[in-house]
Amino acid sequence: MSADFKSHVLLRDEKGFLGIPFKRLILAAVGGGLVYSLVRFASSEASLPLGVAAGIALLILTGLQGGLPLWLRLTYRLRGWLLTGAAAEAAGVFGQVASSLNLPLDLYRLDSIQIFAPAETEVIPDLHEWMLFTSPTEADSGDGLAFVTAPLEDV
Amino acid sequence: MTPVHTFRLEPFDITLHATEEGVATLQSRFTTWARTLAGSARFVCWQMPATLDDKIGAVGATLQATAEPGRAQLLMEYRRHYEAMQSGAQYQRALCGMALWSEQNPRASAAAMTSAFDTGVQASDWPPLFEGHYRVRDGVIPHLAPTGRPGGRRFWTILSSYEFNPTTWNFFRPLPVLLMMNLPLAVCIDIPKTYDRNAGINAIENVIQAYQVHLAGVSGEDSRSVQRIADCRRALAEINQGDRLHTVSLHIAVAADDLETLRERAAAITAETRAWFSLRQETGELLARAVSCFSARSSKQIGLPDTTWPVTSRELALMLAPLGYRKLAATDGVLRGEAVGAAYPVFHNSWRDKRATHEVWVGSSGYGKTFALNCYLTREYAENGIAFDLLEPMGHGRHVAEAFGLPWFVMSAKATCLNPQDVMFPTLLEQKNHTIRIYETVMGRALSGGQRENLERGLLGEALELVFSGFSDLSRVTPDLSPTCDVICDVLSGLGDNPQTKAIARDLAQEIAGLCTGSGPWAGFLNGTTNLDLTRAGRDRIGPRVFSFHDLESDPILQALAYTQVLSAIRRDSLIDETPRIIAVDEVYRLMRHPSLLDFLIEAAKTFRTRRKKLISVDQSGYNSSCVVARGV
Repeated sequence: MSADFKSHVLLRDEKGFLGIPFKRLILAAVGGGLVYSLVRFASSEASLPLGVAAGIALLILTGLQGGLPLWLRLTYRLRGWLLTGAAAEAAGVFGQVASSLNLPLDLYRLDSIQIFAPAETEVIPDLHEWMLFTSPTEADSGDGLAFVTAPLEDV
Repeated sequence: MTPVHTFRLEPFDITLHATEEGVATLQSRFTTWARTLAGSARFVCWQMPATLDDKIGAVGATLQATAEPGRAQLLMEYRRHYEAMQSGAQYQRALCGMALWSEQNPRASAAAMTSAFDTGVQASDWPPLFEGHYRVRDGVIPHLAPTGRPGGRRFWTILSSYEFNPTTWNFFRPLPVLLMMNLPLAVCIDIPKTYDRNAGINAIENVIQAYQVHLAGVSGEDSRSVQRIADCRRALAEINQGDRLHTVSLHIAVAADDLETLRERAAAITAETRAWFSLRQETGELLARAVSCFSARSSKQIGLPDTTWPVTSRELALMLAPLGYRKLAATDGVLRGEAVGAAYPVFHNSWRDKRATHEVWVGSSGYGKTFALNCYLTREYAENGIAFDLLEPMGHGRHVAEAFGLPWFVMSAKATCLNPQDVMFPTLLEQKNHTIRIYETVMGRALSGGQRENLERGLLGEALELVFSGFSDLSRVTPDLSPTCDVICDVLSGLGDNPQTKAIARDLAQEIAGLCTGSGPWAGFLNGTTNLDLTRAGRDRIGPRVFSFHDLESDPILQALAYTQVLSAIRRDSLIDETPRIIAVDEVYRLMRHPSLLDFLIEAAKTFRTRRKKLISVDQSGYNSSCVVARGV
C-alpha cells in the first residue's frame, strides 16, 4: 500500500519567463516601476537606472533557495550575526544592538532543561464537583461527603 | 491557548504486517486516526544508542544466585552470547512520541491512539534530544556544540524539509531507510495545521480556479499548471472521501562525535531522501529555533519560516512509518529470536500479566518450531527459574532433559501403564466425566446422543461412583489405591435394575473389557496401577519434566490417552499454587483429533491461565490450536 505525493496544492507556481515564475516577475516589475516613479520626482536622469536596478534586485532577492527567499535568508543571517556577537559579549555593541532590536538573546544559549521541559500532561480532576453518598436516601437530604478546599471551621 | 499533551508510543515491528493486505490495513488505521486530528500535532521518533548491558547484568546476577550447575552453565553461555552479540553490533532503541494540541482529555487521546496504532500509548514526557548546554556554531557545517564539559556529548545539526517531490511513499520508503542507516538521529513530523474539511476544499478550489484562469490566457504549453490542477483534483477527491488536509514539515536532527562525520552524515541523509523531499541545512538562528521541533513547543512559538507542505490524511499516515521500526525493544524477558531483516534480538516478557498468556506456535514441518520451543524452555528455566512440562511426540525432549539433568519420562506401549481411574479432579462428577472421556476414546464412540448411549453413560458413571464410594476424600486416592479397569468392568457387568439395562451394562462391560483388560489391545497400557510418577508426592515445587511419546507413535489412540493423562496430572497440580509454569504441547493435533479430548484441553487451558500456567500449543495448523486457546481464555 502506498500513496503518490502531490505537488503543493495550496500554492500557485505558474510558468513564467526564463524559468522565473510570473508572480516574481510581476513583483519585480511593479517594484521597479514604483522606484522609477518615486525617484523621478528627485532626479529624472537617475530614475530609469535606479528603477531597473530595483527591479533586478527584487528579482534576485525573491529567488528561492532551501524554500526561503534570499531576502529572508539575508535577514536571518544578519540576525544570526548580531546574536552570535551578543552571545559572546552581551554588554558589547552587538549585545546592545540586538537588545534594542528585541532579538531573543538567549536563543543561542541552548539549555536542554528549558527547551525540553515537559508539557503539562497531568490532568487533575476537580473533585469539588463530586459528592459521596453511602446510601441513596442521603441524596435527598444532601448529607453526602463533599470535597472542600480547606478545613471547615468548627460550628 | 490550547494545551499540549505529550505521549509515548511503543514502536512495533512492521515486518509482522509485511503483506500487501497487512500494510493496507495499517495505512487505513493510521489514516482514520489522522482524519480525527483537529488541531496541531507532532510526531517524533528518536533513535538512541542502546546496549544489552541490562540483560547481561541480569543474567550475571542470576548466575551468581543459582546453585544448580546445569542452569549456571547455561547462564554463562547465554551471557557470553549476549556479550558477543553486543560487541559486533551498534544497537539502537527507537522511541516514538506524539504531541497533540487539543482540549481533549489525554487519556482519551491515548486510548484513541492505542486503538488506531494497535500499540501501547501513554501520556508521558518526551526524552530530551540532548542534555546540558549547547551553542549554535558555524564551521565545516552549522551545528550545535556542547558547552562546558563535553562528557561524551555529541555535535548536532538539523535539516528541515522545504519541498516534497511527486513520488510514491510507502511504509518502507523513504523514512525507514533513514532509520536503517543506524545513525543517532531524531525525525520530527510537524503538523502545525489541519484544515477544516470545507476550508480545505475551498482553498484547493480557489487554486484550481486561479490556474484555470491562467491557462485560459496561455497560448503555449504549461505542464506544471496542468499537473497542479490534476493534483488539486486528486486531493479534492481524497478529501471528499473523508480525508483531511494537513500541512506538514519534516525535521531531522543528526548527531556525530566530530564535525567532519556530522557533515558526512547530513550529506548522506540529504542525498538518500532527495528523491522524496528536499532538505535544507538549518543555520544560525533557524538552527537554534529548529531544536524546539523536538520538544512540546508549538510551531508558532518556534517561529520557523513556513515551508510546510499540504498532504492528505492517507499521505500523512505513511509519514508515521517510523512507528513500525522499534529496533532494540525492552530487554526484560527472554530472547525469542531476531527481528526480520534488522538483526536485532527480540526479547519478550510474557509474565507481566497477573494471569498467564497462552501461546500458539504455528509453522510448516521443518521450520524450527520444536527447536525454538527447546530454546525457549531452556532460557525461561535458566534465566527466570520458570519450570516447565514438555509433552512431545518425537523424542527430541531428550536434549532438554540432558541439558538440565531432568527426569525424562518416555511413554511406552509395553512398559508404561496409565490407569484411567487415577484421580485427576477434586470432585467425583469431574472425575467421572474425565474417566468416561477416556473410555469413549478407547471405544471410538461417544456415550451420548442416543437412548442406548445415554444409558451406557449412566451405567458407567454408576460403576465409577460405586468404586470410588469407598474413599471419603478423593484427593487421598493415590495411584496405588485407584481401582483398575477390570474392577470397573466387574462392577459394571453387575449393574442394571431390569433385564434390558442389565444386558446393556453387561455388553458395555464386555466391550470395555475386550479392549482394556486381559489380552485386549490396550490392556497393558490401561489396566493396572500407574507406574509413572505424576504425583506431587508432598513436594513444595515440581521441577521441569519432559514427557516423550515417540514410542507410542504407531498407536494414535494410545498417544492421545497418554497426552490426556499427563495433562490431567499437570492440571491437577496446577490448581495447588500460582507459581508460573510452562506447559508445552508439541504436535497438539494428535490430542485434538479425538473429539472427546478436545473439551478437556479447552477446560485445561482455562485452568492453566488463571493459575499462571502458560500453555504453549505447537502445531502445523493454526486452526486447531487457536480454537483451544481462544475458547480457553
